[in-house]
Amino acid sequence: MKQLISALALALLFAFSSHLSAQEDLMSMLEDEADANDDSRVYATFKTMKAVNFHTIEMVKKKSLDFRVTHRFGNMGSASGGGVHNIWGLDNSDDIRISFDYGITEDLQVGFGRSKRNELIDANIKYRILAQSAQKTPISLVLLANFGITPKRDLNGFYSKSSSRLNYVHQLIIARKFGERFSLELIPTHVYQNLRIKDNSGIDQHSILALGVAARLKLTQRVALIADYAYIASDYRRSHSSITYQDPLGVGVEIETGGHVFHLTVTNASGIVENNFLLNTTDDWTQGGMKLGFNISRVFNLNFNGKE
Amino acid sequence: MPAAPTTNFMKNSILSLTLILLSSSLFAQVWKSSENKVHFFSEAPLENIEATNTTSIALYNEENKQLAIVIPIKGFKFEKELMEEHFNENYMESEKFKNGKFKGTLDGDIDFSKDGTYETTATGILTIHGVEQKRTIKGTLIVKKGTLQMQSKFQIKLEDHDIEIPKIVFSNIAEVIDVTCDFSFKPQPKKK
Repeated sequence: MKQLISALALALLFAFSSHLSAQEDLMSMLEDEADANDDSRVYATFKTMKAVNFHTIEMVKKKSLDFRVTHRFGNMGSASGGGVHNIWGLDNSDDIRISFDYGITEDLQVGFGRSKRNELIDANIKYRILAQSAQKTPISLVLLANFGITPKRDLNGFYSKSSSRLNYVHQLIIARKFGERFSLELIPTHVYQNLRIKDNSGIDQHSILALGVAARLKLTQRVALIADYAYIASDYRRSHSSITYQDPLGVGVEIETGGHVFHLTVTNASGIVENNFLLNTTDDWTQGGMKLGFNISRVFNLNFNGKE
Repeated sequence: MPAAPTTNFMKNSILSLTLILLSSSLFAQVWKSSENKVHFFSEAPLENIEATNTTSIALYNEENKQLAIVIPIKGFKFEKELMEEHFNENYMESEKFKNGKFKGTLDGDIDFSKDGTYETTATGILTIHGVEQKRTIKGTLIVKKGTLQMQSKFQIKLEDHDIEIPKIVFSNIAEVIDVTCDFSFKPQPKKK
């Protein structure tokens, strides 16, 4: 009898409990199912196509045109030409770049720009091979190629061969967004310059390798910290006797104002485009060789698609 | 165990009782969404904002009239990619608050064995952007040849769900959003 009663109680309990728990778990069951179905692309690994100095994996959206003006003031420290008389570099401009970038597809972008430094005209193409997704793809991969030409007047006979005016940058950008706040990317870079300068420290290389790293830390809904750095693996640069070449290091604040991402940065990089700053950065943070920089960007949507 | 005459009776009654309990849950149908579309629209002076989501999941339990709907926020597709990113990153915070949810009960008595169109309401908790609101939402229920369809049109006030729109882009986005839902259900074979 006892066993029977307990069996009955068990049966009843089981019947009821399965009902009850089914109700409570219904929502979490559905949510688990929704999670399992979700393999959408990860949003906003970075917020814009540039960190401080380096490209990010982000691109202009499809059929959108990004017009930007990037500005770097002069060096801040008086040891590097700044100081109070030019308001810590604000009277000078190390580099100014005007550029247009257009998203052909979600994963393909072309860009064009012109810089003050070396009067460099550059054209680049950016292609996304992999996009990090909610489950299956852990990282994003983007290929970038930037072609630069210097139309400077040939005052020193450097450009007696016109091919000497050309240089190229190739990058594989590997990025991952960790959680909702932190993103990191590695940027193995290859630079090729046709012009090699020979001086008392030897002869410069045609091919130079560099490894960049960039990060973004989202602080609030609209404010993030950004930073990037590159190690330039060039013997000529690292052991130069008269010119102290530096690795570019930049930090900045990213402020989003809805449709516009504003950057306020401090960097020692000489130049805005990789073709310039990877090869020619000589300003030193410890000597006050950092400059204030900002960019303004306006995105025009050209996706009319029959509609207004 | 020594078999007494009473125990046989007891055994049988246990069996039938269990059977009754089980069968009650067998008869009541659980419906699961198949085709579904959730659309929102907001008219604004500069540009209309709209997006469509076909990744939602809904369950309706006839027995206790419970309705549960999960709408993955990242499933909303916009015409403009940048708008979609802003929606997820800045307004909905879809990494933190992955889903829009409704958990409630269907009001009124509806005979699911009879074809027909019923105007009804559902009362429950609507969770969007992690903020819960008790709502009674009007809808239309269509029973047709063993299928069930739920349609609803309602409004969401952004303020009610702590969805902040920065002042600088305020003119861009309406404070009240029109939502249209259309869910088709199929009977769900019961597990266990």
